Amino acid sequence: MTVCRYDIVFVADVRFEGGTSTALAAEMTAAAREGWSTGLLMVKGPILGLPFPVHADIRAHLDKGLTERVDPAQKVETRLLLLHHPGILINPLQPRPAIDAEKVVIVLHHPAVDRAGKQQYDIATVVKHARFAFGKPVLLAPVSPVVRQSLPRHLPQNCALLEEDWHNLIDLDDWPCRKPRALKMPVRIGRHSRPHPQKWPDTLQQAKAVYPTDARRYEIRMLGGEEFLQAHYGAIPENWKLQPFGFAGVADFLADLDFYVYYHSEAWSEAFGRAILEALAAGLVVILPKHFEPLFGEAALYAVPDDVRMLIDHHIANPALYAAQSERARRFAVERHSIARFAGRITALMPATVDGLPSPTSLKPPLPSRPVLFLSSNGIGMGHITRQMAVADRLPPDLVPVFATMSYAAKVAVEAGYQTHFFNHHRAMGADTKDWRSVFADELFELVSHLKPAVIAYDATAVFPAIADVLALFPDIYALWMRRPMWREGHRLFLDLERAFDAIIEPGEFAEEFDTGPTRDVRHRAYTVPPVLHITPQDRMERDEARRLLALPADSTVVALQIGSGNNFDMAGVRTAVMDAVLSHPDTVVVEFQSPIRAAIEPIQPAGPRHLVREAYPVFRYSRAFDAAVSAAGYNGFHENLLGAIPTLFVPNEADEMDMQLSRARWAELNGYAWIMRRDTDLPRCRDFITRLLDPWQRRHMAARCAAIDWQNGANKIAAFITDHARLVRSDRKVVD
Amino acid sequence: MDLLRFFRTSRRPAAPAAEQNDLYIYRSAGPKRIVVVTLFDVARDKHDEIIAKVGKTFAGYDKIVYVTDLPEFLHFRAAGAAFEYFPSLAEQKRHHDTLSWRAYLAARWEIILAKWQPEHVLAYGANIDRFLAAAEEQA
Repeated sequence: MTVCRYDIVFVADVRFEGGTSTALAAEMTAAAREGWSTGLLMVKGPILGLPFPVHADIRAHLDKGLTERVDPAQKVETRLLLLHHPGILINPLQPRPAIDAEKVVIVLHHPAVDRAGKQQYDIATVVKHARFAFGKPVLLAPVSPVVRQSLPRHLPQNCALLEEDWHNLIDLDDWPCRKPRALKMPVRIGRHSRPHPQKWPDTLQQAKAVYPTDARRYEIRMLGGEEFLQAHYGAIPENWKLQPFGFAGVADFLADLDFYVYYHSEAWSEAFGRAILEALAAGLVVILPKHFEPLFGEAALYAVPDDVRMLIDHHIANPALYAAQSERARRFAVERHSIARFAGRITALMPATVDGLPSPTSLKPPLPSRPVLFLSSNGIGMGHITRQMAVADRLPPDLVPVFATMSYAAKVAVEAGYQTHFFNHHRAMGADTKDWRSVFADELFELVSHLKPAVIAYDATAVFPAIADVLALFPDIYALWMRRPMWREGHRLFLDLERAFDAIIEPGEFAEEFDTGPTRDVRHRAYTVPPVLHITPQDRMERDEARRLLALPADSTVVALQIGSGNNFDMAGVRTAVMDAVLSHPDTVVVEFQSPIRAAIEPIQPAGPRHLVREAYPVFRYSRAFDAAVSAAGYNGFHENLLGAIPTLFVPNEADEMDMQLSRARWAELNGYAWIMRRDTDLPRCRDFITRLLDPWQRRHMAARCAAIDWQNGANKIAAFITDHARLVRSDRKVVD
Repeated sequence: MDLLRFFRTSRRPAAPAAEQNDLYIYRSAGPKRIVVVTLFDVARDKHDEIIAKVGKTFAGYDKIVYVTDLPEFLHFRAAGAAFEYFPSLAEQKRHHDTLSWRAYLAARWEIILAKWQPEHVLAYGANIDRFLAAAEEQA
C-alpha cells in the first residue's frame, strides 16, 4: 500500500458540537492558507454516546477538500500530528492507526480537574494511550491557563508541556465586527451555549439576575435554549427569546446583539469559552464571571451576578464607554486569537522537510474501498430496501454498498447493480423462532466475517436477537439502525435491542405530530433526518417520456393504482371499487402497478381497455405521467406522493403489523395534502371520493399545496453520516474490563 | 468469542441426527423429509417445468428447497417451496473485489446442508462442486 504523506494529521472526535470542533475547523482553514496538506483521522471517543453527526464546519472542509479523510488502515507519514481533546484518549485507539508522526501534540481542550475538584481525565493514561497509538513522546498544549493549572505538578514520562497556551483561534473573516449603532430600548442581550445544565446558571433565580426580566429595557436572546431550558427552569420569562443550538447563523445572531452575558453552573469549569471569543470578535460588550479574567483580560467586563444589570445600564447611559469596550473586545480577538497566529505556532514545532522525501502535497492515493452492508428484514412491502437504496445511491464511490435482505424484492437491488444476498425469514420457512435464531446468526456471521464491512446499516422495525448476537462479535464494525417512526405499540419490545447498535437513525416523517408510537419518547436518542426519498422529485422523468415508456395514452386522465402487495391486508374490494369509480368517468385510464413481491404468480389481468397493468421499479420515477393516484399510505409512497405533488387518495393498510398508516393519511388530509378512504368504512362512498379526486380544481389546488412543502432529502444526511463513520478509530470502549 | 465457537462447532456436515444438530431449522418440530435442488446456470424459462417435475417426484416430502442463482422467487413461492439464493457467476464477477466468493459460498453451502438436513441433493445445471469451482476468488 502506498504511503500517504501530510504536513499535519489531525486526530479528533469531530462530532463535538462546540468549541473543540470550531477551533479545529479554524486550524484546518489556517493550515490550508499556509499551503500545508492536512489529513483528518476521525475518532469515536467515549464522551458522546448519542449519534451526533460531524460538526458542520468540519464537514464543509471535507466536502471542499480543504482537508482529507485518513483511513485507519492507510500508511501515513506526517510531520506533525495534532490530537484534539484528551477525552478521546481515555481508552486506547482501536484499531491502532498506521501513522508515523515526527511529532505528536495533544491539544488539551479541557481541564484535568474541574472547579468542583472532580477529575475529568488522568493525564498519565492519556499520554500512555497516545504512546500506544503513535509510539512517540507527546507534547501537551493546554488551551488556557485554566487547563494548565489543572495539570499535576509532576507530569508523566514521555511528555512535555508547551510553554505557550494554545488559545483557540478564530477566522475573523467569519466574524464581522458589529456595526456601530446607537443603543435603543430594549437593548439586546444574548448568549450562546450547548443545551447542557453545566452551561447555565443553576437556578432560575440566578439566571434572572444576569438575564433581567424587565421587558421594556431588556430583550434576552438565548441560542441553545429552547426545549432544554423550559425543562431546566420550568417557567421562562416573557422577554427571553429562545432559539435552538445551531452551528449556522451564529455570526448573524451575534451581529444583532448589544451585550453578551455568559454565566454558567457553579460546578462547571470552562476551559476556554469559544463562544465568548466569538462574541468578542463581533465587538460586543461582554460581561462574565470574574474567573474568566485571566483568559480575556480587559476585553471583557467582570461582575458578580447581582451587578450585571447595573453594569449594562451604566454602558447604556455612556455611549462612549460602550464604544471603547466594544473596540477593546474586537482588538483582543484580532491580536491574540486570529488564525494568522497558527502558522507561527506550527512552524516552531514542525520539523523541516527531509530532503529526498516526496512533497506532502503530491498526489495522494485513493482511500481504500470499504463495504457497507445494508441489512434488512422481510417487510411486507419494499419500504426497507427502497430506503436503503436511497442511501446507498448517495454514498461516495470508495464505499461499496452490499445488500443482505430477507425481502422477496431482493432482485430490485440486484437490478440496481448492487451485490445482494438473501436470507430467509423464519416465517418464509415455517420455522420456530428459536430454531431460526442460531441458523440466521450463523448465516449472517459467515457473510460479515467474509465481507468485513466498515458499517452495517440495518433497516427494519423488528430487530432479531440473532442480529444482536452477531454484532456483538464484531465490535469494530459501526452498526446503525435506521428505523422509520410511526410504530404500533406492539412493536415496543424491539426497543430492547437498541443497545446492540452504535447509532439509531430516524428517517423523518411529515406526519410526526400524529406519531403516538413507542419511538416518540426515545427520539432524543436518535439522529433524526428529514424524510428519505429514493428518487428526488426533480429527478423524475418528464411527463411525455414517462407516458411513452409506460405506453399510456397521451391525452387521458391517468390514475395510478398502487395499493400494496396484498400480503397482509386484503385490498381486493378496494381495487374493484376504485377501478369501477375511475372508469365511470370518461377519458380516464387506470394504470395499476403490480408489486414485484405480490403473492400470486399469475399477472393481473386487465379488466378492460382502460385498465392498464404495468410492473416498474421505482414507480415514482414515472410519476409525472399520473394525474392522480390511489395509494396505500406506507412511508415511501406517502412521502413520494406528497413531495411529487401527486393528488392522492390514500387507502391505509391497517393491518396490525404495519406502521400507523391511518394516522399518516389523516394528517395529510387535515393539512390539505391528500384525501383518505378507509377500506372497512368508506368503500360504499368510493365513487364520491374518486369524483373529488378527479375534479381538476381540487387536483390543481392540492398539487400546489404539496409543491410548497419545504424539504431536503434525509437520504443525503444518512449517506454523509455513514461516510463519516466508515473510517473510524474508536476509543469508546475499554480494552480490558 | 463463545458464540463464535458455538457457530463453528455446531455445524457438522454429517450430523448424527437432525434433531441433535443445532443448525437444523426444524429442530423443535423434529425430523422432516427434505430435498434440496440446485438450479445453477439454469434459464428462468426452465424453472416452471423443473418445479412441476420435482414437485411430482417428491410429493411425499415435507419440503423442497431450491437453491437458485436468479433473484426471482415468485414461482418458488407459488409452488409452496423454500428457496436459497446464491449470486450467479456473472454477479460474482461484477462484484469480485469485495468478497472471496468461493470461500464464502462454500461456507454458505455448508450452512444450507446443516440447516435443511436434506435426504437428497439434486442438481439441474451445474452441480454445487462445479459452481463453487467456478466461483470468483477475490482479486
